[in-house]
Parts: sequence; C-alpha cells; structure tokens
Amino acid sequence: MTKYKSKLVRSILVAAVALSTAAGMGACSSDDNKASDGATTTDAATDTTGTDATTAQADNSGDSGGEAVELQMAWWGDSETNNKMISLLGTFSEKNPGITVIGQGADWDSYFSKLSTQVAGGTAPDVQQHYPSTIQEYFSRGALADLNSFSNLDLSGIDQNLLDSLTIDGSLVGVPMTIMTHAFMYLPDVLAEAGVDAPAASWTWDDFAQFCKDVTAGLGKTNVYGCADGSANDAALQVYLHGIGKDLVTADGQLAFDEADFVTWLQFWADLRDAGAITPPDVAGYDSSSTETDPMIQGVSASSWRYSGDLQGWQPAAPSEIQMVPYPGVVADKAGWLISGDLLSIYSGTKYPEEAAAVVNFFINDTAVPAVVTGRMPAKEVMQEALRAQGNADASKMIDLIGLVSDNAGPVPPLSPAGWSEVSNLLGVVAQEVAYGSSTPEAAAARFFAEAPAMLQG
Amino acid sequence: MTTTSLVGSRHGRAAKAGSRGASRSRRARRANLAGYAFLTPWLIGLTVFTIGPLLASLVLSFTDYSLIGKFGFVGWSNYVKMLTADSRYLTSLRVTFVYVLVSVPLQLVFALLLAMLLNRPMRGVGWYRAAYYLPSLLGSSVAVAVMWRQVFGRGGVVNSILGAITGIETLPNWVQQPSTSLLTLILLRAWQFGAPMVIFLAGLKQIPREYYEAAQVDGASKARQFFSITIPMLSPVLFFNIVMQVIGAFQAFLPAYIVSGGSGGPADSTLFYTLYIYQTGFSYFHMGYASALAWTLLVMIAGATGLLFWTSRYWVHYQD
Repeated sequence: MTKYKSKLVRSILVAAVALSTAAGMGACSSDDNKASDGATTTDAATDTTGTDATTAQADNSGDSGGEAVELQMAWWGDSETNNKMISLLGTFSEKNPGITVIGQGADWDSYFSKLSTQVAGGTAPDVQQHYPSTIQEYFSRGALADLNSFSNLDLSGIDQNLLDSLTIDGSLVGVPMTIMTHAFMYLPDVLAEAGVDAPAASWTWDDFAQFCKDVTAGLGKTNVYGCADGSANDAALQVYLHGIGKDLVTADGQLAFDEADFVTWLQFWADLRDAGAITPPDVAGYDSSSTETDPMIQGVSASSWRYSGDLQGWQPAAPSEIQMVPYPGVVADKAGWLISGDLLSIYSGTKYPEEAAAVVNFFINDTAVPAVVTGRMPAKEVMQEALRAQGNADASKMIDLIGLVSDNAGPVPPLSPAGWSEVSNLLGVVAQEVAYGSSTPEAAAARFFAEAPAMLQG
Repeated sequence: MTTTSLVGSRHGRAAKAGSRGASRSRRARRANLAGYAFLTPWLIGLTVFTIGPLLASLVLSFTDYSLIGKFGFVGWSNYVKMLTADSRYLTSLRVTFVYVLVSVPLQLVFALLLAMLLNRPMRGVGWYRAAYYLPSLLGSSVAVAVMWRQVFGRGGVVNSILGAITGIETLPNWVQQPSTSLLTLILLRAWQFGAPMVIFLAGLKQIPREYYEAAQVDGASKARQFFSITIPMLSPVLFFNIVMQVIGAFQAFLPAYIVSGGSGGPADSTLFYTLYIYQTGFSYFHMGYASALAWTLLVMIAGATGLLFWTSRYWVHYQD
C-alpha cells in the first residue's frame, strides 16, 4: 500500500516539474518537432522536456491557410458604444463573408495603457482607434502602417487639410472616423436669466471677457459664473496662438510660441479671475475629463470649453439645452479649425493588411455606421447628411458648427509630436499654480519654458 | 528502485542508521527534490511574475525604453536626470514624504485608541470590532475613493455638516484646493485603521492583567500605566505596525489616482511618487525613466525600513 502510494505521489510530482518546464520551454519550441498525440504527463516525466503538448497548440494557432480571416479591432467608449460597435462589426461580417472581427472595447482611461502594453508585446489589435494627440507617439515608434499603401481605402470627400495633418513624412497614419471642432458650449436659459445676449458666431477675446463679466454680474449669485477658467486648457491656448500667427508646437517638437505670449495668456485669465468673472479654481477644478467634473454640468458656470463631439454626451447631463459657437478669435471669424476625432489606424504588424483596410473603409464609408453610432460626426459630408436625415437635433447642431468653422478654417495644425502629452500636462500644472495663487504668470511661464523643451526632446 | 514514502522516510532512516552514507544522501536528496517539486508552482510564479520583472525593470532603468519599439542603453542618465533636472520628481517626493510622515502616525494613534476601547469588556464588543474593521475592507477600493471625492466636494457631506455648524455658505471644495487636497487623502488613509487595530488588539490581549493590578496597588495613574506598561509591552506590535504602514504609505497609489482623476492635481498637490511613476511610464512613454524612479523608491523604502530597525534597538522590548 505504502509502496503504491509513494509511487503515485512521486509520479505526480515529477509530472508537475515536467509540465512546468514545458510551459517554460513552450515559447522557444520549434515547429518541426511534431507532437506525438499520445503524450501524457507521466510519459513526459520520464525524460523529455515535454515540448510536445505546447508545440501542438502553437501549431494550431499558427496554421491559417485559406480559412476564415479573424481580425482584432480595439476602441474606447462606454458600454453603449461597445454594443453599437459590436453590432456594426456583425454588419461588416455580413457584407464581407470570411472576415470575422473580434472587438476589444475599453474605457478611455484604460484604453491606451492596454494598447501600449499590447504593442510592446507584439499582440496589438490589427485595427486600432487612435487620438490625434497621441497617434504620433505610436507612429514614431513603428507601430502603425502607412494607410496610403492600401488601394481599397476610399478617402475621397474627406477634408484635405485634415488628411494633410495626419500625414507624417509622407505616411498617412490614421483616417478620421469622426471629426469635430472647438465648441464654446453655453446654456441659453442661464444667459436669459442673466439678461445677456448669446455670443455671436464670430467673436473676439475681448467680447469673451465682456461676456463673462456681464453674465456673472447679471446672475448675481454666489458660485455661479459666466465662464469656466480656460487658462489651463491647451486647446483654448492653441486657438488664441493661431490668432496671432503662432502655434503651440511644431511637428518636429519645437515650441512655436514664446514666453511673452504665455505670460499674456495667463495674465488675461488672471485679470478675469480677479474681476470674479470666471470660476475660481477651488470651485470648478481643472478635471475636464468627464461630464460630472465639467463646470457647466456642475452648475457653476454658464459655459464650458469643449469640442463639438462632446455634445451628445454633455446634453443629457446638462440642466438645460446646450448651444454652441466657435471659440473666440483674436480676429473675429478666424478661430478654430476642423479636428480629427477618433482615428482609425492599422497595426504595422498585422497579418491581414488588406482585410484590416476593408474594416477601416467600412467605418468611414458605410452609411450603416452613422445610423448606429449617432453621437459621432462622420468625416464625410455624405455621411453627415445621412445622420442629419435621421432628425437628431444634437447632430444638426454639430453639423452646423462644423460647417461654420470649416468655411473659415485654414490649415489644420500638425499632429502633436512625441512628448507633447507631458508638456501639455506641465502647461496645465503651471497654469493651475497661477490660478491657486502659488505662482505668478511670469514665474509660471518661466518654469514652463525652462522644462518643456527637454520633455519634447524626449 | 527503492521505495520510501515521504512520510516514512525519517523512520526508514532511523532504522537503517548504520547503512552506507551514499544511500542516505541519495534518499535525502530525493526528499529534497519532492520538497522542491511542491514548491514549484509558487517558485514559477515568483520567478515569472516577481523576480523576472524586477530584474527586467532594473535593466530597463538604464535604458530609454519607451514601451513601444526598441530601446538603447543610456547609462546612469535616468538617475542623473532625476536628481538634477526634474522638478516634478521633487514635487512628488515632497508630497509622498508629507503623506507618509502624517498619515502613518495619525492612523496608528487612531488604531491604538480604538483597540484599547474595544479591549474593554462590554456588551456586543465583537460587533463593534467588526464594525470598526469594516472601513479597511472598503477603504482601498475604487468605490470609496470615488465616494471620498464626493464627501469632500463642494456640496459634499463634510460641507453640509460644517455649513450647518458654522453658518458659512461658501465652503471650498476640499479636493480641488492644493492646500487641502493632500489632507483629504491623509484622512482617507487614517480612516483605514482596521488592520493595525486588530493587530494592536491581539497585542493588548497578550499583556498580563497582573501588571496593571500591581501598578494599581502601587497607586499608578491610568496615564502612567499606559506609558509604563502598555507601550513597552506593546512595542514589538507597534514596531511591526509602523514598518508595515510606512511601506504601505510609500506605495499608496489608488487614492490619489482616483481622487485626482489620474493627474495628481490640483497643481500637482497630490502627485504621489507612485502616481508620477505611472504617468511617466504609461502616459509619457518613458518606461526606462519610470523604472529608474521605481528602483529609487525601492531604495527609499529599504532605507526607511532600515532606519526603523536601527531605532528599534532603543525602544522595542521583546519579552523572552
């Protein structure tokens, strides 16, 4: 009895060792070491490393032949978006038999940490959703394919300025599935209460300052202000800089404005803050990442610095109807430009480039898409009109604002260079320090210009 | 093949005490092998998921690894940058040290006080112990961090209560104010006093009643009893709690990440060291630099722990 037991225990143990070795060796096992399907754990225990079982597995997955193609596609969004995307992928598969697309939905916060890990591990999804501010990081590190090389991709009807802005060294790194523009959102009900006229479609920063003061004074309430503090908002700063013929940063990573410009900007907001015309920092905070932290949604500001694409998400959370105008300009009529919203890109390491391009093509051209994803503004006018035809009020507002801006819009600024996300964060931090009174505009600008260049050099 | 069961091996060895040494050592080796085999699952986990990444990050700390793509070795430059050219690194150090130095004592004082209260014989003491332990079960969760943000927000519970007491209408948003935001996180940690409390409670139960009775007979006051009996007798437990909580506080990440929305804001006032590591690695793609930061944190924690062990010679009393 003891004899039998001990033998059993021992073989289990040895098998465990062998199995674990096999797991370790699996990664480097070669394909021509064909499996003997009779390999059991006890057999493996005798002397071999037990590569057999793992090889068999690797063999299965590697062998694709003429079978159905299976692609991975990743996007961000809430569960509703997730469901819509999955149903669209079903539509895609119906129209393209033989191609199955597996969706990987994630929320915005975790999307990029997951994606960067996948890229690092060489298992990135074939079709990826990207964002203009970070796509350059991925392209410059070799993760994205040049979309110009796909003949089955129909890009006609997409604004050429936009496509130019997405072209790096001759490579088209992403195509806009959606577009948007800067949107100064406001609540007409609150303006009516304050007895102030709505901002004109073309207005200047001086008009804006007066507007903030009028609304705040007209309301005469504690802790409700005309406007949200935009000093830490790099999009608003960029619109201002465009007005004086400058920009935040060049494509090759040089700051495109100087310290004096930044001081002017910070001082402009400091004056409004001192005058009590904009939300004080401790009231509204600077977390603009979600609806719940937005000053207008919180009810402490009559307006907010947003993008047109936010409307669909912001409107249900807002206390009353939202209207939108372009951002103010240094010269009226010259503010804002078209912005790529969600970009679609193809992973440079994809095994099925043509099929991946077919997926991208579907999302930018098929009118089934706007019918399902109603909250997003497609890049092509044909698609926009398909959306408007559905009678969605929010969609019409977005289309109108985009039309208004694109009439006057010049070239789209280049994509943010690698390292920009860190600089953008620093910009927010120094602007906040001024707002909280722990720094002056001069000192903040000096700190920014001392530290930012090194970040852009990587 | 000789067969000796694992359990029986010692008896077997005793019975064959006079047999040749070679056979004995072979048997011992086999017994060792079995032991290692049992350890294997854990050993693999440790190697693959702990030691491997640990060593990899040490190597990466000398590179410009960006998480995506290739990397090159850059020598000590990551460490040099940290010490000479990174103002946010210094900010994160300051924030973390304030957090550790304030939250740990506060939390332990809370824990000890409650442990002493709950050590008294009273009706339903078990229920109270469970109730007071509850926050530490919840405290490290995302949900509580989100709740914390609401509680200390403009229209939160704290302001409602303060407003009712003081009559002031415009109370600040405590989370959005650089001067108070870190304080809210310190309170969140202090609130999670459950684990050290339970350990204190166990320690208090070990102190013989006779000591207090003798002290009482000699006319010692309660305070005197606390400082001359409770604290010295409890010092090993106190020491353990301090070391564990200091290490834990250095590594705190989640509360700051959730409460500040991942930014360490407002104005970097809650930029914990770990949060800065995360931002550097996953938001700015400087994984090499982030690895260097992580190793520096390891050295700092080791240093703090070493310092505590050194001081323990002077104030920790073990009864043997």
